Amino acid sequence: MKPKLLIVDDSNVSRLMIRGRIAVLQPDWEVIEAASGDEAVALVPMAKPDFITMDVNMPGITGFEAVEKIRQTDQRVRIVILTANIQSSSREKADHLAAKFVQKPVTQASMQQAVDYFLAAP
Amino acid sequence: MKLNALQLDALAEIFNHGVGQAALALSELAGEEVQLSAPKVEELSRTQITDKLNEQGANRICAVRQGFSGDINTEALLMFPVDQSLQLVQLMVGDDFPLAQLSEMEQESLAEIGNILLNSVVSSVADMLNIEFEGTLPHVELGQVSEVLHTSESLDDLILSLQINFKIASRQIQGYLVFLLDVASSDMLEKKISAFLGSLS
Repeated sequence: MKPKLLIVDDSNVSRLMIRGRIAVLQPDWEVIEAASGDEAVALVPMAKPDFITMDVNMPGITGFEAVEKIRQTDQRVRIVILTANIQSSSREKADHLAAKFVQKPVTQASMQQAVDYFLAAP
Repeated sequence: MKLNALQLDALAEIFNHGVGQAALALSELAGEEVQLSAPKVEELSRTQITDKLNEQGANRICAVRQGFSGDINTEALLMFPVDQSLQLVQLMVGDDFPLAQLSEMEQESLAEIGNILLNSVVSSVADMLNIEFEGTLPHVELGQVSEVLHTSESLDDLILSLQINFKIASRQIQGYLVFLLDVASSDMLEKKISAFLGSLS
């Protein structure tokens, strides 16, 4: 079965850019999308993604709140917090939620960082 | 708020670090070196900022507005001449992106660029002053400078203004960043800067 990545971002442009970069780095991956944290929380139990890129600042619940909810039922999925909010407190929150912090903008380098984390042994 | 010379100097230094982070983010987007001028931090009235931007030929501007709340509440505005907006979008998505799709996504791309740049600066300021901010969603506005800056506050109230110029070898993009602070936040900022200065001695 193909590895499945869930992209969570309210910005259509960001989703498009992440999808484009992933297609170059991991052309075999299946990619699905959610435009909010709430949508992601509802989608995860059904779609069972292997990996998630999670934006933080979105309408409705924040990315951190979404990860907290996802972690209640899924400890397995590997999550990258992908955000422009680079405050130390954001990095600490990501650590606390057993997620990797990757700084926006979406570039080949930042996506490579995410992919390396996804593929590293847990 | 009336900051003294040393406090303004400290604020410029703190912003300088934040702007460096923003430059890094922009250069990653542009795929080339981005030079940002040293930030000029001033306390100006909305009228003075309007005049200043009008002098630079930026009558009609594109602005990305984002609120940040915490110990200090501020509204940050990234403003640039409206004719540069497409260049900024191309920076983000690349020159090969189809033009039709580009204009469709222009507003959303600008919001994301604003989100990245404003967060780079604000996050850095937050860490250096030991405060925490929660950001709202960025909004894009087009209009005259005075319209964008107009709020319920008086046009003559002093607000914190930070001017930076972006210089990218292949493009010339100039931006202007403004932080609007309420009175309570201005007092808190003054305290935080004093604490920051105190920690240096």
